[in-house]
Amino acid sequence: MSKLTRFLFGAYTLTVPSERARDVFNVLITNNIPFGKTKEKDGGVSVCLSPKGYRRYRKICGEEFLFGEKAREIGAFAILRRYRLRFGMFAGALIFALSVFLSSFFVWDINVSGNVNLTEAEIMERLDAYGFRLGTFIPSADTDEICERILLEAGNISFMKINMRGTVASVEIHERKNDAVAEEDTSPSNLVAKYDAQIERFEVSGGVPAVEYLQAVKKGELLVSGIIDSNALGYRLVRARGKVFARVTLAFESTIPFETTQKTYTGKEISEKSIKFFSKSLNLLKNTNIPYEKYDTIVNEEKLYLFGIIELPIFVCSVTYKEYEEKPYTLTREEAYARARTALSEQTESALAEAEILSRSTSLTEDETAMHLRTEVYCIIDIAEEVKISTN
Amino acid sequence: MKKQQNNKGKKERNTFFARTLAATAPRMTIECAERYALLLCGCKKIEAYSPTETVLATAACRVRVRGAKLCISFTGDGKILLSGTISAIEFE
Repeated sequence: MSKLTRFLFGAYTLTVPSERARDVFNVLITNNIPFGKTKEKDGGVSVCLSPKGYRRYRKICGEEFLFGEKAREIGAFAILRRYRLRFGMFAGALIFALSVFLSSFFVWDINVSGNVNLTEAEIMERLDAYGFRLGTFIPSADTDEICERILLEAGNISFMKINMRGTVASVEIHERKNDAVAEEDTSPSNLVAKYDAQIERFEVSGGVPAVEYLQAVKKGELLVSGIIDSNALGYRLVRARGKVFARVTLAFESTIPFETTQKTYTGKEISEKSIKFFSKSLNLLKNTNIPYEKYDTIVNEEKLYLFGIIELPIFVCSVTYKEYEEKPYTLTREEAYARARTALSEQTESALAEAEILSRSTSLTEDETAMHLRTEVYCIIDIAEEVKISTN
Repeated sequence: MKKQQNNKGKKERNTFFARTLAATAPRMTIECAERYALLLCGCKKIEAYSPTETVLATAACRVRVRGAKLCISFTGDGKILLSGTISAIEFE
């Protein structure tokens, strides 16, 4: 009799003292009552009988057992009979079974693949706008329609598909390549100078150059024209494209006042925790007003795992409010200088990213209230700026 | 002399008869699965049981099985299954 059979159909175990085990076995053998594997247990021997065999044995023994046996019923029905008055247990088992069944109708996880420039958060935001998120009722979500709408709306996605594998949604994306988007713009334009400069060289791929090598130009002066005049076709407008490199002196300045305010945390903080199940939040504490005038808000979301490996659609969110105060603070010369240098670096890094620097000079001045750091960079840089030609 | 010869002949006829009967309609059979299981058919009763030694009585003879962690199962119709680690089987 296998364990599963015993559990499903029930069985009885007879425990008898070791010295009387032989007698019990002989009674069972004589009456042709099958019994299962014997086991030594607590100084006695236990043997397993089927319900039918046990009833026959009881009939043979009469009201009381013959050899000091102890009987015990095992199996699923025995457990149910033992706990039949524990309604909470049955209700809990029913709720569990229902939960497991119903949970299969909701989205538990969304996996995004194929994205290169777009972040997962951006894609999830787009899906959320059309009602597709964690906890979405799967039968009500028309994934094909959602994909079509997103493709029409987003110019940078060429293919999108949502595949449902059970309760996990796999979102596959192919992004549109950048040059395909840029080439769509063919509206006529000119290229004008961004700065006062002296022309060094130009690389023109659209339009007609209006300047010459080593010519000095002013800011706003036409460099490449988008108006082409030909004898055969007359005037026509095109989009001026290209780069015009020129020698220019660019000046960058940063001013750092000595008197400033410094943010310091007072040490007081309030935390609120909530549980997010799918996309629904459940606050664990009653909402309280934040008593601080100035505070930083730190939000932390932690996903829960079952046995450390199975992801659950449950997040524990904690929001911490940390009070701070701004106190007046006087910078030292070194601190002001360091801040000035940092600010200047940020300005020059973005502006001179593709420039060929020929020389640089930096000057530092200070007065009673602030420190001024100025740098002049003599460089060769692309000074072309596109300006659309109005055709109205 | 004649009496001795008669006794010897009777003994030889009885052995011959027992062997022939055992070959055609055995009252007890034993099957072993290596040394871990033993199926005995034709068991009438269990004369002794302990996890190290079990004595089974059959119509033909008594069988003493020695070993360790011996467990008995009865499947009905005189069939006994002994499982455990069997070290010796003796016929008495």
